[in-house]
Amino acid sequence: MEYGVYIWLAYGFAAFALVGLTFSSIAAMKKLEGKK
Amino acid sequence: MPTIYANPTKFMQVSQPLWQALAVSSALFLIAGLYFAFNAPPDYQQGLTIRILFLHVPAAWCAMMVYGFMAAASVAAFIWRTPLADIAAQASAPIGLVWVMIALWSGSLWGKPIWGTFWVWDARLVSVLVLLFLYLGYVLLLKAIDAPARRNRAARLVAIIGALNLPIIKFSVDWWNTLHQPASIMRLEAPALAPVYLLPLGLMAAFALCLTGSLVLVRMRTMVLRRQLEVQALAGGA
Repeated sequence: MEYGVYIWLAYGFAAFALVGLTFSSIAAMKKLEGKK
Repeated sequence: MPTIYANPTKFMQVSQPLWQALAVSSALFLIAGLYFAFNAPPDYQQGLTIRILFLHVPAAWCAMMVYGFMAAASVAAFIWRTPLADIAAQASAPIGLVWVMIALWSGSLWGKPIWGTFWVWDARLVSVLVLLFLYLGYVLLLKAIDAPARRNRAARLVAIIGALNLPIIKFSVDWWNTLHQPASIMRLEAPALAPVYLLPLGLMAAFALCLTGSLVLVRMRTMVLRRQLEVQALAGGA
């Protein structure tokens, strides 16, 4: 059984979404901390 | 709710080291979780696709937990009228939205090789899809209403009423005949999952929980900071 593509698509999307959410959240906080 | 935790100044002091500690913990759990997940032996029926379980299950747990947290915070906001409870609920929504998207996407990709289809209209899948729409509706509602008091009240209602979907998701596999398997971890009997898979699942669940906690605190801090800057700007302009 060669189902590697499903595994990588699942983990790839999760990595993309979680990295994006994490960095955008921290960047927004740091930007406001800099203004304060 | 102890009022000390509802005080924004106190919250900003306590949350600073806490979000950082949770972020570091989540990174450590992720490294260990991925190591054990990608070194786990193939399942005797599902082969290597069992690796999707270590992502899919924690994502689904977090999607439900975050919505439960939003509903609890909304109840607290109705009862104690503390702005921090509304902030906690509203800051959590995008995080839950991402988790439910990951749960549906990974579940769909797991379904294709194992069930032979990406999607079936069974009760578990549909109730999780409803959770996605609840999250989307909640996030769009926050953008759609400008008046803060009306926005907060509407958001609380959506969170509380939408929480009725959580037991439906949990028990859908017991109440209806579903292609989705019944609970194999969160049940009264011993876990049905082979012990060799419990460690990577536990580590990935710990990663997901720590990351969620860290992101909730970061987004709450952002909202508190934004309000403090607005107040400063108003005071400066007066």
